[in-house]
Amino acid sequence: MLQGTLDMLILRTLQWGSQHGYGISQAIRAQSAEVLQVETGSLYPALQRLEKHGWVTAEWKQTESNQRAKYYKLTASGRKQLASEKVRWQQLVQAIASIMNPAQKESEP
Amino acid sequence: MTRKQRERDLAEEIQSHLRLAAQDRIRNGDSPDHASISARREFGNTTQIKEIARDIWGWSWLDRTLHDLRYGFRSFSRTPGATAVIILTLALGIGASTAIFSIIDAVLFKPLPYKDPARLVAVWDREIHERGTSKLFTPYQDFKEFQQAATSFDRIGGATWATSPMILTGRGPAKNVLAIPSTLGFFSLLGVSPALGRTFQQSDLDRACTVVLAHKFWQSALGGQPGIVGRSLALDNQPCIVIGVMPAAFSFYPDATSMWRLEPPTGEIARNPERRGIGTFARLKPGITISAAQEELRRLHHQFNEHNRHGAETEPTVYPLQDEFTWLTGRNLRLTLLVLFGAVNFVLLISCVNVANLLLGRFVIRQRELAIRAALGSGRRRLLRQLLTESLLLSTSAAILGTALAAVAIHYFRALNPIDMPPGTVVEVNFRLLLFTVTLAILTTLLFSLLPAWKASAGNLDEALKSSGRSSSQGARSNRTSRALVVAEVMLSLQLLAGAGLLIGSVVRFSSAPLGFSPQGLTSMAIGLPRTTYADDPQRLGFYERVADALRPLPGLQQFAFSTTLPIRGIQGFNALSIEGRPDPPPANAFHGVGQVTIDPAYFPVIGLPLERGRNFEPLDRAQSDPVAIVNEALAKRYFQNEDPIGKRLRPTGDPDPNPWLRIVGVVANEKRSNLYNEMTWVDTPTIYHPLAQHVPAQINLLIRSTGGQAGVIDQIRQKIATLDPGVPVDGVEPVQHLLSGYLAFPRFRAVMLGGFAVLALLLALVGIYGVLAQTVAQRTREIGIRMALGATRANILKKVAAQGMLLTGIGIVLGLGSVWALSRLLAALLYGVGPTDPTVLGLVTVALLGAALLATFVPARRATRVDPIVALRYE
Repeated sequence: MLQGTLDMLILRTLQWGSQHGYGISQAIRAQSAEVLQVETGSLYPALQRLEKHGWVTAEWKQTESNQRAKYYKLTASGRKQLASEKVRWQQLVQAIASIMNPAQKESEP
Repeated sequence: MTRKQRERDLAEEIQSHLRLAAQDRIRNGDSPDHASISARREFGNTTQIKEIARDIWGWSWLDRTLHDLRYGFRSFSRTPGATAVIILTLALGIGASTAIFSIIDAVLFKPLPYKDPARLVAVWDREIHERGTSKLFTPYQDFKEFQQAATSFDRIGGATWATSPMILTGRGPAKNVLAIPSTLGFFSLLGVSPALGRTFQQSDLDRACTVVLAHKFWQSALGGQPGIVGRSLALDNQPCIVIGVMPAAFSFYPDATSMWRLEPPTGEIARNPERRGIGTFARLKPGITISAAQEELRRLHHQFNEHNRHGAETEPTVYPLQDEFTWLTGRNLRLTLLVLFGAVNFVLLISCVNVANLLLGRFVIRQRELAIRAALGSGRRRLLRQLLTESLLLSTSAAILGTALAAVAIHYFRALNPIDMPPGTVVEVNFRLLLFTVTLAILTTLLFSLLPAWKASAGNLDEALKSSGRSSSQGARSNRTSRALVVAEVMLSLQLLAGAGLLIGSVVRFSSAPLGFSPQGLTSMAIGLPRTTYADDPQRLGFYERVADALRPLPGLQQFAFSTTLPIRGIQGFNALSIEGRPDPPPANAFHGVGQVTIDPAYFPVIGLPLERGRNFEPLDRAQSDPVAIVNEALAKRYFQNEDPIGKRLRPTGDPDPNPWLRIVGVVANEKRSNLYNEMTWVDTPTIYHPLAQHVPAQINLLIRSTGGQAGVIDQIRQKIATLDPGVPVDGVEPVQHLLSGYLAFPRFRAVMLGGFAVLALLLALVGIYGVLAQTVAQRTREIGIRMALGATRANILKKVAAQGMLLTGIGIVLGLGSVWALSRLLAALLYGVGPTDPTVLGLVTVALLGAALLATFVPARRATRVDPIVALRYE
């Protein structure tokens, strides 16, 4: 996975509501149609990092299946961070695309 | 959240993740057992997550260190014996080094307790033709010239200890006091305020005698009398006004100073400015270097003395004052301290090598643990950190213990006071010393642990896990390092042993050198005649004769004699020597180092110095008779080679000029004297002896040999002299043997200290040899078992192991002997009667080292022979 994108994906996943670590990894996998496999070795350090930056807050809650789990929730500054990362991501994608498909760009009307 | 809570939280979160994952798997049809295992497998390395999480939360440094420390504590407490050995070894090294540094710091580094001490200098005259050390007081007229014309200095002050003691009367029994003639600027140069009263000022120059007291003298001789300022003391029967008392902490060379006396324009020095010298002390102006100041003084000196002999023979030389205090206290004090510091650091180095060896063994044993930790995600840096932190734990404990040892050593050093220290020197535990110890602890940590830690942390997991720790190649590799370290230890110990051997040999030879006379049972005391009441020769001679008459009937007093210079005391040469019928020597070569001593006819028999030719002085050699002299063999040999000196006439030139011709009536054997510039020499100073009756001094020494109670005889002598004149002090009572011991104090101190360090080094090296061999034997138990099973005899095994130990020792000795040559040359100035590579000394220490090494080798070698082949082979 591209460096720095994991944070963005986590934040994006949390936009739909608070979620625990396992849930986040499952959601990313499902959303990407099983393409993106989030390693726990990256996921948990990333969550710690986000928490430290104050982009997410955490809280222990019960799951539907009555298990205790630590739920992460997006904060206001996390939302802002997600927005700015999204912009940067789009710029990056366009830049990469223009390198990978230069001809297509020229043939545009 | 605290760190602990956060860690627990993370651990719980991971657990919860695993539960959720397993639940999902069960829902998808997995069996419960398999589900949790595969969830865990999929999760991967939890340790790493925890470590990274710690990093993220930023307290990792302290956290890790604490963690490492706890870990270190645990691992050390599992092996308390080995840990104690390591800490003790290091503590001895650090303690010894700290103790020696405390002396070095006090003597060489701690600034003198005066104003702007870094800019204070001493100016000595040196004789141009003299190649070695030569330091003379500046003639007073040069001093005056410097004071007026020199622009390099803020202030110049003068003081001289080349002065006869003055006699204090009216305050208990008459006593000799050292009243240092000083100039007006002396105290303001040093910038120290008095504790009571004031120091010298311009108006004091009009008085005949003004003094400032040393605190010690005020306390001991005057009972600390508070109203002393403004009172007068009778010195040489002349009133001297006390204007101030210096603080207790103030001192200047020499330590025995009782007071400083302002030299007025009518004073003895001021009236004889060409002949009387004074010590010149000055403060450089900011930015002026010593060499610039020296250049200026030399220019002034040569201008001023253009037409006299003094100008051609000497030149002023400028030195930092602190260096001169050190030099004045002990000619080789600086070198002694540096040599001891070097030696003690050798000991510390050996301690470090030993500890490195112990740790190497220890880390090898921990190879598996370290390899497993590495496999679980600890990087090499992390492991190195762990090992270094553990080592730091060791060295910190050692530094604390070492500081305590050093404090004890310093306490004893101060209590025993084995050597003279420069005035005002206080050896103490202070901030600088602790800083030194901390630095030392860090340095030693790096020294002893970097190599073992590096090797251990480089461990390869497969190898470490596969090997059983015994037959591992890692073990063999670390053994190679250990052996190299042992060789280094042996080498360093040999160097120290050789150094100690040379110093001890020097002391033995120096103290047993034949002196030409017998000091045993001789006691000396000083008699001083006040210059006012005993102004001329007949008065003084009359008194000495009355003393002799009064002492002769004393029971218990076998023999006594008078002499101006005590035996052993160095005498400095004076001007030139003229011999009748020969041309006078040219001025530049006029310095011949000839000494002059005045004696009575009893002197030679009493000290046991044989008369070789001619006759002794007789009662008939009177003031009015033909002036005579006796010379010693050294003088006869130098000036009269093959001629017979008896009947020849000679005279010292100068003072007072011209002297009468002296007829040589006898030649006496040489008595050894000390040298002013080198403590480790006995010299045969060419000497002229004058008869007391023709050359009457105001100060004389009485030498006695007595039977039975010394103290009783001395009391009787005091009484007799007090009856003759209570104003004549008798003091400085000292057995000549004590004088001799005084000369031996520095050499003995050096030899004892270096000897102690060498023994310590030897012990450490032996522990090193023993340790490595014991380890080898333990590692090769199997091999030895096989050899024995195949028919090797116990003798074979013993020989093999012993040979290994002796090989290491041998290599160390060869390397040591090779390098001793370079190091012992540094000791040259401290040696007497042995060369830097004295074969006897080197042979002896080599044999001693070999013998000791053999012992250290024998124990593990014996253990090897007791290996039972069956047990050894079954062992693994």
